[in-house]
This record gives sequence, structure tokens and C-alpha cells, in this order.
Amino acid sequence: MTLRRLSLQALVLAVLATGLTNAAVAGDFRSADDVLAQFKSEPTVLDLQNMVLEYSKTDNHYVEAWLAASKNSALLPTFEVDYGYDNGYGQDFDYADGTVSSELLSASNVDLKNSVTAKAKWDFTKLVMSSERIRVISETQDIVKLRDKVLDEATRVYFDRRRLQVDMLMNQGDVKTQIKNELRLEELTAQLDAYTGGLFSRKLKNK
Amino acid sequence: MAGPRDAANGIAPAGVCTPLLLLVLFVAPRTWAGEPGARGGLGDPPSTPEVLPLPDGTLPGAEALPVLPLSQSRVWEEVAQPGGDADLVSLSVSPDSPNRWLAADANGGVYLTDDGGGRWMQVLRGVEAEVRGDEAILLEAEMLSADTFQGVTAADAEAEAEAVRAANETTSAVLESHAASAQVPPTVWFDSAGGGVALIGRAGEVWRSTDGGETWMRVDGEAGAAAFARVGTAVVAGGANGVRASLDAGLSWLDVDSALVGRRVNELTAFGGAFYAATDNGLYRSPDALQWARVHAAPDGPLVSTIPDPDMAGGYWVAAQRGLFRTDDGGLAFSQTVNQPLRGLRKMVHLDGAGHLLAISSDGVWESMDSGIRWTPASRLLSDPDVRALDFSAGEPVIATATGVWRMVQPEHLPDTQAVMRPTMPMGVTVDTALSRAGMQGDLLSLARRTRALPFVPNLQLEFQDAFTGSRDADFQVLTSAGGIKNAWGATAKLCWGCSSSTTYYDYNSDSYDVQQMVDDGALTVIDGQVYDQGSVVAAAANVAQKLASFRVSTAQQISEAWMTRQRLVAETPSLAEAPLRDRVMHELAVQELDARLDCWTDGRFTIWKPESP
Repeated sequence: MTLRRLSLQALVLAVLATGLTNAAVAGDFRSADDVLAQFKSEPTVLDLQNMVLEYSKTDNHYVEAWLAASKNSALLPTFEVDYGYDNGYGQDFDYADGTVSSELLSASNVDLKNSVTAKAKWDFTKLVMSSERIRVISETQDIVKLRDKVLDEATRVYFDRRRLQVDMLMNQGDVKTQIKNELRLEELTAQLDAYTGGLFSRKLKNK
Repeated sequence: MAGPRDAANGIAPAGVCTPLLLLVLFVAPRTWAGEPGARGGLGDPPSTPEVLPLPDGTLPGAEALPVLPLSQSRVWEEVAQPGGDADLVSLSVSPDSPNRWLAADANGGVYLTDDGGGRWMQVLRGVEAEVRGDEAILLEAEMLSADTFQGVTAADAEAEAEAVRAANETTSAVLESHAASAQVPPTVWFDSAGGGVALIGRAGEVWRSTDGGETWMRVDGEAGAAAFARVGTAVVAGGANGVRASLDAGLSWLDVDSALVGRRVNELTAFGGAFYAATDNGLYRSPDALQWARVHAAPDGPLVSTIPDPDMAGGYWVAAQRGLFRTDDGGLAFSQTVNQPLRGLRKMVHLDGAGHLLAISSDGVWESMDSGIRWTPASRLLSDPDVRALDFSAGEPVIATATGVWRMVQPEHLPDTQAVMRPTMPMGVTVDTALSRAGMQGDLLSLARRTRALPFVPNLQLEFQDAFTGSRDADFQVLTSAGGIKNAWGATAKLCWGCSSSTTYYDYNSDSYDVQQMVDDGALTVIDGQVYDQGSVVAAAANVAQKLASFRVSTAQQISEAWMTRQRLVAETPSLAEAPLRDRVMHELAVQELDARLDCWTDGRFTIWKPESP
């Protein structure tokens, strides 16, 4: 409870400080470019989109690599290697009086065989069309859909955040409104962090 | 219907003329096939997809993309009206001179201008003023019927009754034929081969001119025409009863006996090595303009145009009165691009740029930059929306409406809203860029071509063998021993066609199947939640292709919406000059957000796009 109260007090102080600063500069803006120039230190939407692509692993080169791999995989053959080892031997016996005790080894033979067979098979029909390639094409569609959706959402949140920043800059309102806006700003920043694995906030601090 | 006419006029029956036509068509050079002198225009059948010049007259190509669509960069300008209160229905521009135009009114009256519509002169009176009328048609029917009574005597009552019945049928056939032809509106057409040859189809007749439309001669009275097209050295006409052909540039005409008999042909086009006839009930295709077969997957009902897509092999649109349909696989399957028909659609053509279409209708001129998903009116300064015909003069559209002829021109001063527009990637290019991304290309699953190739692709098997053999024999009686070693190797290469599939045995006595095991063994494949065996590759591809097509359409729709919204916002920018600063900032952010969204779909190419310098 104490921590929460302290946190809110800090937030109020931050809001008041920001409001004083903004009030000092609000009248200096002459054009839209002047206003938007206030946020030049933040990552651009293009930076954000690159972060999202990197974090979600849905960049175009992944998709291109999948498609290329699915097609080129048919160029690799199926390998089969057989090794065979035969060891055959035989012995001939003579029996002088027809009893076992008169057994006499008369001849022996040994046959050894080592063989290696290597087979490579190419199924060229898979270069034309294969179930694996169709599956990859289907999966890449899903990836493109995911990428479009994630990028679109992140872009929307980015500009919601920017609009809020502009509102906060140009129309501070009372303390309650400022606190509400500050919380909303943190919420939107957190959403962008969710899309970028926290990279957005780190970039904010670095810039 | 064709039989009696042929017999009466001494024209060889279709069955006889067909081999002759085939021979001529295959032996003769096909001058329209993209060779010098060929012209892109309405009804002209180029073998390669038709790509019209850009509105500014430059040649189409990636180096010269239009910054703005026609609807935003051009306005309509009315030229002098031919024939006072002429009710125009057809228009054609000469391939020899872009300022020589022919126009026909609803009565078949024909007008000619030599100066791009500055001054018109009537070169052919309307049908009502001609001698041929109902009486002439009845006379023709009577003459044909008289033939059936030859050799019939009054004593043979049965033969007489049969002759009367045959005469009635002949008369009905003649009357029906002329009634059907009369319903086909007049059409004028400059021969794409040039040389001043022009043709008119009207009220069951064909007229011909060899001096660029100044003087005319009636060359055929058997059937009119709704569309003409040049096919090699022959000219093909589509009318109320299928197609007819002429081997002498329209001087004499022969019936072509085909599946099109009885069908009204609204338009003839040729591309991708085939000919297409848009009829009153479905689409027909022919490899040689003689043997026609229905494209069963195409939509039923009256069709208006068939439009090739130069950006995709096997892709074309079919414009029907109930909407626009598209195929990506050469006609195996069609899907409706948007369930929103253009009211009174009459013709559609493809312009430069991917998915750039222009349509004329009874509700004005419409333009689409996204393959027909979104339509924008291109009717600025056009006071008469009832557009009947379209052609191109020096790359600029020319139209005939009920009350006059209009040409599209670039205004001297663009409206303010356009002046402030920054260079923007055109919608067609934006959609094309988005749909060309990895995983979105439509040709990934081009089934028709790939499945045809499959039986001809072999398996290759290479085998290498090496064997070492050693033996030793000992004879203890004679105390001898012998032995030897042998090393042998060999290689085999084997090509095998049709042996790619393995046989999978299923134990039907078993109570259950271990599907996962079968998937692991490669006997089954799971694609997008569906289970396929190895023999169902084509079916799987078809399902995935359908999903891809749907995704492409949906993406194109979103992009076109965003693009149009952005254009609207940018156009509003000047009106916000006096608005409060906050409104201007929010407006700028809205544009930036749309730019960023369009960047998402184009891998960032939208905002860095710049028009190439001409």
C-alpha cells in the first residue's frame, strides 16, 4: 500500500512537471511539423516495424527461405548405403572305416565377402509439386497473415500512442486528466513492448 | 438456320468451308500476333495480352508508371456531335489515322470524322431509309419456300402436305433469323490490319468500305454482326447466330458451324493462344476461331467482355452483367472478384498497370486500380452517363454516349486537391507489390501447368556397388591349397517414369489406424488441418490455392481501402489550412498511419516509392 501511494505520488509529480514544461512550449508551435518534431527522439514507426518483425520472426526472408528450401530440398537425393559381410567356410572329412572315430579332415575352404552398395535416388516430381511444398506454401500464407496482423496492430498502437502524446502536449487538462493520460501512455508503451519483446522501451531510453 | 441460307445463296455449307478455312488460317501468317502494324483496340485480337499505351502517350513499361489514375488526372471533353440528335451505339478509331473515327447510331446511320470529332459527315443512311424492309424479307422467304414445291404434283396429297410443312418451316426460319439480327445493335469496325478497310454490321447486313469509311458497299445480307475481329488473314464476325468468317477482308462471308450456332456473340477477343467469345449465355473458347467449346467454369448468363491480365499467365477477367469474375488458371476455376455488379455494364478493357481496368456502362465510366475490387467513377465533366462504346485515339479513351462523342483530355490546370498531392505509389502498383511478396504470389500453385508436367518427370536412381571377395581352399590329402581375392565394382543409373508413388497397404481388419504413424511414415500428409494421401497432391494444391486466392482478394481489398482513404485525406489537406493546429496534426498523423500501414503490406516500399523520371 505504501509502495503504491509512493508510486502514484511520483506519477503526479512527473505529470505536473511535464505539464509545466509543456505549458511553456505549447504556444511556440506554428505547424504540424513543429509539433511532431517534439517526438523525433523516439523510434520511428519504421523502427518499430523492424523491431516487430525481428521479434516475431516473421520477416520476409524467413518466408523466402522456407519456400526456397521446400523447392530445393528435392534436389537432394535419398541416400542408402548397404554393407554386407559374408563369411563362409566348409570342411570335408573322410571316414576310414565308417565310424566317427575314424574321422579325418581331408579339405577345408573359406569364403569371405565384403560388399558396399551406395544408392542415391532423386524424385524429380517433387521439383514440380510435392505435398511438402504445398504444406510450406500453406504455412507461409499463415506467416504472412500473422505478419500483416501483428504489424498492423503494432502500427495502430504506435499512432494511438502518438496521438495521445500530441494531446498531452497541446492540451494538458487538469491533474486527473493528466494522470489518466500518463497511465494510458504507459499502457500503450507496454503494448508496444509486448510486440517487440521490450525493445521499444529500451530504444526509448537509449534515445 | 444456317442450312437454308447457305443453300439459297450458293455458299458452301459450313462443313465444306471449314477445312478450307483451317488450311488458310494455319498456313497464312498471323499478322495480328504482336507484329508491327498490329493495333491494340476494341475487338482486335492480339495473341499476347493487350497492353494499351499510357494516358500520356508513353509506351507502357515499368519506367513510366502513371502517378494518378485516369479518374484523377483526366477529364472528358465533348467533341462535335455527329448527326444532330444521333442515338450513337458504336464507335471505332482508325488504326491508320488516330483522328479518323467512325460512329454508328441506333438506326444504322454511320458518321465519319477526319479531325478527331471536329466535323462529322454522314456516310451511310440509317436502315429505315434503305430499301430493304419487311417486304424484302418476306420475298426472300417466299423464294426459298418455292424450292420445296419443285417436283411435287397435285395428285400426291401426302407429298404436297410435306412440302407445305417444309415451306412453313423455311419461312419461319428466315423470319426468325432476320428478327434476331435486327436485335443486334449496329456496329462499326476499322480493320486492325489497316489499309482503309472498315466494316459495318447492322440489321442483318454487312457493309464494307475500302477507303477509310468514306464510301460503302453492301457485301452481305445474311446476318449482321455485333463484333468483328481479325484472325490472321481472316476476319471473324460474331452476331446473333454465332460466328461467321471472311477470307477476303470482309468482302464475302461464310458461316462457321460450331457450338456457337444459336448463340449471340457480344465480343470476340484473342490472347494466350486462344480465342474467346463472350455470348448471351456463357463464355466460349477456340484454338482457331473455328472449333468452339464452352468454358464451363465461366459464369452463365450474358457476358460482356473477356479481358486478359498481362501480368499473369493464365489470368483473365470475364465481365458479366451480374459482376466481374476472374480466373488465375486459364479458365479451370472462376471466382467473383466482387459481388457488386456495375449497372448496365457494356464493355471493359485493361489499361497499363497491374489490375488497372476501365469499364463503360449505362451509369458512366468506371475505373479500377485493383483488379475490379473497388471502382471509382471516371466521369469528370461527362454530362451524359449512358456510355455505349469505347475506343482509344492516340492512347486516350474516346467514348460514344447516347447524345455525342467524348474524348478524355488532360486539363490545363489540375484541381487544387491534385496539385498538393505528393507522389504516391499508384494503387495498382501498391496492390501488385503487396501481392508479389513471398508467400502471396498467385503462381505458386499454378496447377494446370504443373499437373500437366508431372507425368513426364522421371525419378533418377544412381547405384554404386563395390564387393571384395576372398577365398581359400585346402586339400589335406594331396597337401595343396589354393586361394584368390576378387574386387568388383559397378554403377547403375536408372530413370523411371510413373514410379514415384509407393503402394501403401492398409490393414482393413485392424480396428483402428495410427494416423500419426502414417503421417510419420509419409503415407499421409496433413495440410491446413486436412489429411491427404500421397495421391492427392493436386487436390491439396487446389485447396491451398483457393485459400491463397481468397487471402489475396482480402488483402487487395484492405489495401485499396487504405489507399483510397489516404488519397481522400491528402486531398483534404488544403482545406485544413485554416483549421486549428491540433486538427492539422491529427490529420497529418492519420496520413502517416496509413502510409505506415501501406508500408506493412509492401515491405516498406510505399513510402520510399518515387515516380521514375520519363
